[in-house]
Amino acid sequence: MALTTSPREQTRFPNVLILESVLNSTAVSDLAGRPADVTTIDIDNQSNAAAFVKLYDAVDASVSNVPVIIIMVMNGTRRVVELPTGVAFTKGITARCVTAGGTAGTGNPAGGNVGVSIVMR
Amino acid sequence: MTANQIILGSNICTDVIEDLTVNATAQNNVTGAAATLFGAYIDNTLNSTAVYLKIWNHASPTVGTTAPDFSFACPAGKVVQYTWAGGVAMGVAISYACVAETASVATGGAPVAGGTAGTTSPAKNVTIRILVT
Repeated sequence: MALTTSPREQTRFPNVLILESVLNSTAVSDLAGRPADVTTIDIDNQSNAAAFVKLYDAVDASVSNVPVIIIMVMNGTRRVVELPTGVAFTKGITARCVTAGGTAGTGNPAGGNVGVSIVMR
Repeated sequence: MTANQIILGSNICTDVIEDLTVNATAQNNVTGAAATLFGAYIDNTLNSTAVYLKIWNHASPTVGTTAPDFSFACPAGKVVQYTWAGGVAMGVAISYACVAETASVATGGAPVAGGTAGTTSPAKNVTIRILVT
């Protein structure tokens, strides 16, 4: 995994862009390091099967935790989900990506990477 | 002036499915066939707890048991929309339901209704719109 976080400039551009180039079943925890509102989720699924990106309102998560957002993206496609009003994560933002929907699922995407970028404010 | 017809192609939807009183009872196969999902709108302004709109690529899911392919959170008292160009192919059918989060979340508890679990209907009306083709 490779996590990149953009610098934050409070006055001119208060949003933060988080890029995780290889998201899988291992949680990437507390992406913003604080509570935040998610406004864009960009998912590039270059694996060989449908991928399910799960976001948790928590500072860490495992397969037993309940996600608050689940988005399916078919293999070989990229989708940019826009949330103009934002969705508040009151504790923190943690992300995982597996090959099954719902709460369960521990299978890692295979045959290619799933990259996820998240814009938050 | 010259009027030019622009073919929009597959990037936007052709239909909107609206439900003014969505609840935890699944509305099954609302498109009657495989379809493409382009987004969702959730109006949860009347409720004091968060709700989750769950969407299945399944003709007859069991709410609380069948793992949803999409789960969209909408905080208490808010309107949220999720949209994406290009859509996501739902090769079987589109079914949906909306469940309410437990009150414990408001006092710091962990979410419990957003994934597979959750069978409680919202206390007051929630309006949803689903964008499909």
